[in-house]
Amino acid sequence: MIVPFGAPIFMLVYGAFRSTLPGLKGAHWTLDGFRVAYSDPATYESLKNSLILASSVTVLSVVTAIALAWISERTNTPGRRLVTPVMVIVFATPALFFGLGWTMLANDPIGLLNNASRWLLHNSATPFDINTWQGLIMVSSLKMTAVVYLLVLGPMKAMSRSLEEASLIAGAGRGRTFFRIQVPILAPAISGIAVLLFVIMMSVVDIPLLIGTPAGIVVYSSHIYEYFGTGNLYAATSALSFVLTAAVVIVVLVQQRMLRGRMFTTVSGKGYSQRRWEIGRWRWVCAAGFALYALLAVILPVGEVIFGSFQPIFGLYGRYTLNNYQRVFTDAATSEALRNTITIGVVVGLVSAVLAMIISYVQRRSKSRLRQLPNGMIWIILTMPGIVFSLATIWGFLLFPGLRNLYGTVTMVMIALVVHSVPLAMRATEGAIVQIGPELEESARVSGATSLRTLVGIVGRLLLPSFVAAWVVTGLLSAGNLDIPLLMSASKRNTVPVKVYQLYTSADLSGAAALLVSYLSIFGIAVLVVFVLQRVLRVSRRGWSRRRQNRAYAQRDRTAVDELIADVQNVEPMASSRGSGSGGSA
Amino acid sequence: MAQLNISNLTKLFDGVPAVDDLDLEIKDGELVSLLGPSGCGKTTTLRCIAGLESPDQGEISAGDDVLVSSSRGIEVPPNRRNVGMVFQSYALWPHMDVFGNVAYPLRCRRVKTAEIRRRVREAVDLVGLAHMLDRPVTQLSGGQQQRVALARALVAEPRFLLFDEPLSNLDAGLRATMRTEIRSLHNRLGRTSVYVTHDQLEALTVSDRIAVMNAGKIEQLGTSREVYSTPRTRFVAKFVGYENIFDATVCGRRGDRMQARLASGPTDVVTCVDNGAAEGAAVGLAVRASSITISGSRPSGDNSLVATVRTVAYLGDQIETTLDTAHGTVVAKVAPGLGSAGALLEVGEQCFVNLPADAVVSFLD
Repeated sequence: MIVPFGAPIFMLVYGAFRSTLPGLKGAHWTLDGFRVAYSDPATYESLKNSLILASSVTVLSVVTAIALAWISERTNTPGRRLVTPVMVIVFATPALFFGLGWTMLANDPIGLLNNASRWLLHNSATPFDINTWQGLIMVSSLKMTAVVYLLVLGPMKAMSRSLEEASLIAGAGRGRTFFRIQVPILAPAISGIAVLLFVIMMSVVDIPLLIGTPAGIVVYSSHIYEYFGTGNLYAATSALSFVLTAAVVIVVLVQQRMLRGRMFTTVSGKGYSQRRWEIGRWRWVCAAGFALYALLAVILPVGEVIFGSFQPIFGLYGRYTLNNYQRVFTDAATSEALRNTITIGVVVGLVSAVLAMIISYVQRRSKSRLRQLPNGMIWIILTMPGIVFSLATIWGFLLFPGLRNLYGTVTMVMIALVVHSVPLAMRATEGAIVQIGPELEESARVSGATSLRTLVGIVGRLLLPSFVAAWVVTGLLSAGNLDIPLLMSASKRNTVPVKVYQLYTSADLSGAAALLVSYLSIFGIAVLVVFVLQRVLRVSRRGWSRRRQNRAYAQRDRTAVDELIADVQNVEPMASSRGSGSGGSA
Repeated sequence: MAQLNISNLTKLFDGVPAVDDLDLEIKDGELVSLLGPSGCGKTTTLRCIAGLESPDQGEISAGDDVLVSSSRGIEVPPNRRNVGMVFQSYALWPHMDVFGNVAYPLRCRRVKTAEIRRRVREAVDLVGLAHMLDRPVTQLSGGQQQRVALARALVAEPRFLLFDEPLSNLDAGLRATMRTEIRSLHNRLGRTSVYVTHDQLEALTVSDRIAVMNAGKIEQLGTSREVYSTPRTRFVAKFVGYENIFDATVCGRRGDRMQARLASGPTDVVTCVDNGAAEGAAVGLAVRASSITISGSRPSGDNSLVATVRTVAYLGDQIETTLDTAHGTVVAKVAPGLGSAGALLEVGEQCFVNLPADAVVSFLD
């Protein structure tokens, strides 16, 4: 277990001090990598850009997400029940999709919004341009808001309403209650989430590549990608990554130390009521705010990607064709990418879920002192930016002769994705395994079941829903991941996200749109099938519901969507900074 | 300090009344308990007084100050009502220490710093936590948290003190201590108080008067002794622990006693405490299990029923016996001991249950 999770870390450090590609002959130890990387002014420029991007997106998304979470959890705003489903959709949709959608909407001059403005105002002005700082920050924030929302929902729900009421009765107004009571109580959780988000934004590649690079905005992670692309700066690339990883680990450690013993939201008694604030006319303002978010984050980009996929050439209005879809399914490379990605979704999801189950189970039940070791390794993987992780894995494969043959294959991508997503899958399985008390196993044994029968019939059966959820979530996020396959895929054997990115860079936006829509439809249908199956199972179980008093058993009544939300919320902000990072950069 | 008046209070949840046209007057310095099962509207009533719920109808006023009035369109927000409240979950703010929690109401009232320090110390002294001022509240035990909550409610000298099942999260021993303490604190401070509980013992020890609530209405309002010894409805009788209730019809009077004929089975007549009901009226007769005696032979007088022993359970200081009679099952609790007939009974044995006339109370049905 330690080897696959430990290797990337080792390789990263090793690669940074070698003169050529790891595994090649004639290499020697050197500090050249650091010298090259840190004497390049572009490095500092990109670092500055990353800091600007990360801090502005963090502020914007945290504020928006808290507002939306408050609307959906604490107020009587009409439409509040839609907030969480919308957020789950945004969370599960690859960031690429938003990048592409908004590029097509606000392309200067031919994007749909510019076209609409010309048509409405009868002039030739093009007021929208996505390839700017504003565009980059807006699109990133729209996507990240969903990540923050799902994380902040738990603390928001856990905060007992009586704490607010006690403040009102003590004589404080709504404003004082908000700033003196609610904000301070949520502060530790929010700061944890903000740090997590900052770290994600420092390391994501997808949206910055799609929107930032055409605007001439190079962030640190895309700078690493550029270095890698030049082909002879491997040590420098590792050196850049090494520092980024170190910085991320330090930020997470500092935050964790600051928060020690200060998680307030766990304090809640039996609350009398979790009823909502009646906010009067303000509820229409809140509803409008949410509608605006849904418009910008879902309706416009989804609509535009679907619409654009029917344009013969992006920006050509008035004629529509199925040609792009035909190309998706006839072009060999594209349809292979589609097949690869579906395989990745199914296999990587399954393998990660199985591994996660085993690791969590062993951790829970084993009495060995070594049982905490995998946890430590996994924790470091979690903090490792996707692109850095990818680089380290490549070095690892190149170093070992047996593995070298796998270079450029889908298998390598899949292995890397499994290692990268096991930690996320574990967030779902750990919680589930904790719920199953050892006495359930013991009683099965006492009743005469063999240990195998206990494992399959009791433990396995009870874990099934969490297992399915872990499978769906990791499958979805792995298939949509751009950061990892971007560096690993050979030109032919690639995945949908990489192919979309290639089509995008060769200005075939309509083709990219058609491919994304096909891919998302297939996955949408798959998730829907899982959801419906669970619903059907649930209904058929109603008959013998008397056994439902068992808490672990009741757990099974949750559907995939419930699990998905729970899953995301299990990603504790502090311990797993990279946990939903793959969510963010998926 | 003030008198609290509630009139015609109605609060609907999804069209269903949680509080149904309730009237209640609490005198200055009085502690009144709202006692009832969960869902009877007691907490909702309390929250309407605090301003945390806005009633659909009715008026609540503190002396001459109207706090809320549906007809006049007045609704004072909770932060301007000047009340103190102890929550069931204590609702202490986890990011503040004991001092911070207790000082908060004073800070909201813009009291000067030195004055705050003095009054917080006073309040914390009252609840016996003077040495814990700078402890984080998350490190306190349940009982200590409860005391902090109490000090916070008292510190600003509010018009009313509201208690929302304050002791229900404590263990049994601590609960007994705290209810005596709350009562003696009330004796000392004499603040007009409303105390919500579902525990009859708590209500009996703490209150000046008890309002027993059911389905959003007050079933009976009276002193602890009145409610305990003369329940006026079937619901109250059951709720304050009368295990045995018989349906009966008033059939006459003898001296200062009333006589009633039990409704079912053979014509057994029971002499009981007079409730002034007219002859022929349907009444319920209630007897506590601990008042009933059991004997092997029929004693003289009316008040005994033929019975067969169904179960005998040893409870330590009592023996609980259930017996089948022509009027349904009767529960009796007798002290164990050689002299007592109950101790010697076997299941299936024939005997007589005797209902002492003084212990049989009646209510109109």
